[in-house]
Amino acid sequence: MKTKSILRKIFVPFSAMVAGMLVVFFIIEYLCSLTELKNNSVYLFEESVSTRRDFLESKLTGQWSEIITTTEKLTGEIEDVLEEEQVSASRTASDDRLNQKILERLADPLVEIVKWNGTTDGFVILNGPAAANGSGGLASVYVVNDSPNHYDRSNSSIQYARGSASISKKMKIPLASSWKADMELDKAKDDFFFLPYEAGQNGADTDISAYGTWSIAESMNGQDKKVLLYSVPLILSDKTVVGVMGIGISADCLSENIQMESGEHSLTRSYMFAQAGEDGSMVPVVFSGQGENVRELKELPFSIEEDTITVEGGNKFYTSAQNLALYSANSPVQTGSWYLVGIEKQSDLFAVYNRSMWVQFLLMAFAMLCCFGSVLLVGKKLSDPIRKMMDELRASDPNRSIHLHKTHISEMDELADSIGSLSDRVAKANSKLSQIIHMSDAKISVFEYKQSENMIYVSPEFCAMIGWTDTSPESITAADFRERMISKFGEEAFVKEHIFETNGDTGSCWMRLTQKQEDNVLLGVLVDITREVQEKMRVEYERDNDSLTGLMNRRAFERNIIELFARTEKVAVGVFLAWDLDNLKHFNDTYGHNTGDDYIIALAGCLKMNNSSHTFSARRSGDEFVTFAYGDTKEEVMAYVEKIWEDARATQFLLPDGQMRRIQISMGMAWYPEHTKDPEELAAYADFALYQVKHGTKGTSAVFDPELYKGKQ
Amino acid sequence: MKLKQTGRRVICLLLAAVICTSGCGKQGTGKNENVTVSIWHYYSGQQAQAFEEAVSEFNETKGQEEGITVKAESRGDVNEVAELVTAAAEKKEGSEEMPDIFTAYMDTAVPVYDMGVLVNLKDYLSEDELSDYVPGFLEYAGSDGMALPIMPVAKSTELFYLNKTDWEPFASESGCTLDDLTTWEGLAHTAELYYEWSGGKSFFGRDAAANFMLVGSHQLGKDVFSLENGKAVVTADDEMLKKVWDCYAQPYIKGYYSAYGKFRSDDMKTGDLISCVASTASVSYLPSEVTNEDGQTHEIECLVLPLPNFENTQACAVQQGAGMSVTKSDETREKAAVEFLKWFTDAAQNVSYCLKTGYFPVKRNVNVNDGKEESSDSDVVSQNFTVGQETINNSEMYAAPVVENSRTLRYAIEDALSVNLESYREQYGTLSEEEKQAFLDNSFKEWSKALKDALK
Repeated sequence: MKTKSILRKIFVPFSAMVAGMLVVFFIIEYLCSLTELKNNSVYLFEESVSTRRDFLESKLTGQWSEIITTTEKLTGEIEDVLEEEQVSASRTASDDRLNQKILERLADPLVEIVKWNGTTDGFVILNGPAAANGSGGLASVYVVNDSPNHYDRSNSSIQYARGSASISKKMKIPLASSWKADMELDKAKDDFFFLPYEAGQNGADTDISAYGTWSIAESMNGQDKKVLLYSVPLILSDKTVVGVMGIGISADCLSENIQMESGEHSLTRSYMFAQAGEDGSMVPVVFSGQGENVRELKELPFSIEEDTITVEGGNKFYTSAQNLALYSANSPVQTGSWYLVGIEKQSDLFAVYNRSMWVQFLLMAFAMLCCFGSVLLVGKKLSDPIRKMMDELRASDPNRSIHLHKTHISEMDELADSIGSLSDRVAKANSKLSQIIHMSDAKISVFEYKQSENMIYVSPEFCAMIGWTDTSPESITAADFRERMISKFGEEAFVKEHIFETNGDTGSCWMRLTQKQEDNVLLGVLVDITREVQEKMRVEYERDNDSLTGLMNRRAFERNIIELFARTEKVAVGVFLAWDLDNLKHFNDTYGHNTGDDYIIALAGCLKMNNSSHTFSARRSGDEFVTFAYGDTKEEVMAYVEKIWEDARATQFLLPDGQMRRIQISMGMAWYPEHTKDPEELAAYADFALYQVKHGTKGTSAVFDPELYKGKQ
Repeated sequence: MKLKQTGRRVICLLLAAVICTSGCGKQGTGKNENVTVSIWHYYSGQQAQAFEEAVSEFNETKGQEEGITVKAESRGDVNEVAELVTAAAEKKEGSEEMPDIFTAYMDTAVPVYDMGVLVNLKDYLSEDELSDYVPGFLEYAGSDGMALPIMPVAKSTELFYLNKTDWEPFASESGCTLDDLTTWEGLAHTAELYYEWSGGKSFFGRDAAANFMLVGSHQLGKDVFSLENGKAVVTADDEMLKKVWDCYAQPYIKGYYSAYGKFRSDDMKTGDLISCVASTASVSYLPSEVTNEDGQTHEIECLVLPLPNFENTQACAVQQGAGMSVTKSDETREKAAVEFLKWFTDAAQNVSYCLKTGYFPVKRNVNVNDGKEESSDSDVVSQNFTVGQETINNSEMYAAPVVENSRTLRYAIEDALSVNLESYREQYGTLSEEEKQAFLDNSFKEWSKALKDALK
């Protein structure tokens, strides 16, 4: 199993659990409440459109278009006029004077209808001319009411848009700026007159409301706006249709009556009153609402089927189209279906839903953060003291007993106590070991160095042994240690082994430092090897030296020669001297062996004295000695030889009888490389030369004579 | 420690964020706190349209930003609005709740202000803002010092409008020139000549007949009433009244001047008059076509001329301040109402409104002619602004002093110059030539006495 920190051990499972819980919670919340919320938004939106539709429908069919009784009154007035004038109803089609008279009688009640019903428009159009010399338009009175919500006693908000000026003068009603004396109509466009008029003519019904026609026309008071008109034929009791009367509701008034929303959606929701074409497309009559996008809405491609419209830029609109039942099912006149369409941007419609989503998300995030935070906090509370304890532990001296600070966590404190007591025992054991080493008189000391942690431990004798007399084991620091090591051993201070000489209290001492790198720790043992070294040196000396004279023995001499010749650059010219003490037997026999030994020692002393960088000598056996001298030139070497020869001949020794006697020697010489380059041959040639002297004149010297040597072979 | 503090701060912030976001479920931002401001106005026709357009624009722009919805409704004429507001203020049985804003002339607003139901707009406008407006004519010396019960929204003056097409044949035959139309005396004489020339048709008529006496008396240096210590002192003297009689009442009685329809522009449309004095705001009603009683129509061209003056007087014209008052409600609604008025009287909106209606902007340094080119196409509208601006620049602008009963005084004068003259005119028409002069002399005495009585 992987090792993980306490924090992770706590954090991961806890966080996973909380996250899981929150996700489950969110899913449940989403499925149960949030989706419901979204559906509710749509439901409320549609309800709201429906309410407005109902309201508008009742306004349109119940209040504004409620003109049936008035129509009867108007047709009654028309019949009165016809009776007064003694003319038939058909005269209206040609008699402008009659029409003028009729309209004078109808104007007042018309204004009353407009004011009572709270409509913005009202009109009576007769089927005949308005004036004798007019442009051919129909006789009519069309009034516009600027104050549909208020019954205006003074008629000051009423204007005449169409009709004879004499009527306006009489009624003190001002003329609209777009005023005209008669009504010019276009059969293709003006359904509000022709549809009910013709339906009335063709129909058999006397109930004129059956012919009521809803239509859209351009506003008569010069505004570039639309007006929704409701018109019925004026049918006299003899079923003659003499014209049409109607009311109108301006786009603004419609708009005002649609938008009665308050609260949050009042600024975002818009409504459209529209007429549906046969292809399902909608022709807007008016938009209502404060929706910032009313202008933008005018461009939208509305249709009955679709309830969402996406526009460029990604805005989505949600629409709800609800039909207004303006006509009864079997009405002879039908002008398409009429709709109230609610429009709202989806982002606004679902604002509550979106906000709830966000709140849920935020709450979840917050809960999660809280949980993470508290788990982190708890984990930290647990792991911090442990970490602190560990740091304390790391920094503590392993040789001393350790006292850790309390963590106030019972388990941890118990652990700390255990560590304390353990360290006590270890420290005691440590110090015992040191004492034992100390007692054993073995000169050993150790160090432990952790460069990464800047830690050094050295045993008590280390500094003295290595020769750092100016510091002590207690005061030395890791950096100091390193610096001293490098200055003592150079760049390779921390390699495996160093053997070195040092000046101890008892003179020169030899030390061996063995080091071992283990992970980060460098362990070192310093051992005093002075005795070992001295013993070795003694053995070597005895092996290579003659015990009587202290000169080299033959083996060592030969080794020297071979080593020297191996490095020929040192020897340009050399000479091998073979010596022989004359008369040794005589002295041995006459004075005893001690005197013989003295005789030998005297020559050896002379030769030893002449040992130099270019000369070395050895005792070959009994009374035979050898010397090898070398240099750059023969003359130089010859000078050495002569000096030794003179010194030897001048050397004296003391006889037991108190006399001083000169020593007598013979000598043979062989030159390197003149005679040979081979050491053995060189020795042999020198011996040959000595042999020649011994058999000639003792006490002299001779140089090897190759001719002679060849002759003897 | 630092880490701990940061951690605490982060937690606090998160907590605050969560609380805020969850708290805004109902009330939320300012956008949702919509204030509806209701307006009653007496505009009709062109002015109503222009105003409605301005309201829509406000609702779609500034209103949208500030969460203000303005709902404007027409409530009859200026007097009806005043009556309705007064009734509402007095909480008469059956009366409606007061609107937040209503349109009024100074003389209709002041009585309502004195009832303590109107906001003193000085409370909502800084000195700087106030100084932008045309000074003087909408201030009222109320009991609590100089007050501003009405926010000026547009100003107008009166001009002389002439049917040039029908004037020309007469002028060329009679030798009359446009110069004759610069004085009231000249106008009366011209009207007489026209009456004779046309076989009994009236030449001239004017709207707001009271202005004739109010401005005229001021111009003659004999104000019909003046303001002393906040009270009206009637100072109408006979000489002034005689001048008014001769220059307006007498021509009216004789049929040289007339008033048939509701406004003189109507009479111009029907060809009953060929000239009139009317407010600059009626320019959109001036006809481009005259329709006779028999349905015959002919196109005409109109000429806009300065208001005539009495001979040997300094040019003087009325400055009428149409304005809007804000009723006391709560601070939010009052502020919203003032916000709308400030927006409406701001240069861009005000000029746009003025161009459609014939009013002049109420802020100084805002010239309606700056925005004219693109908006106005009609020659008459263009002339209207040019001549109107000249009048404002070159004439003494007279604003009737506002006193407690100024409306009553105004009505008395208006009646004296309209309804009362109508009865004299009827009688005059029945008299023989010999009787007429004596009738006129007697009538003047009777008329002036009746007027003075009424003013008392």
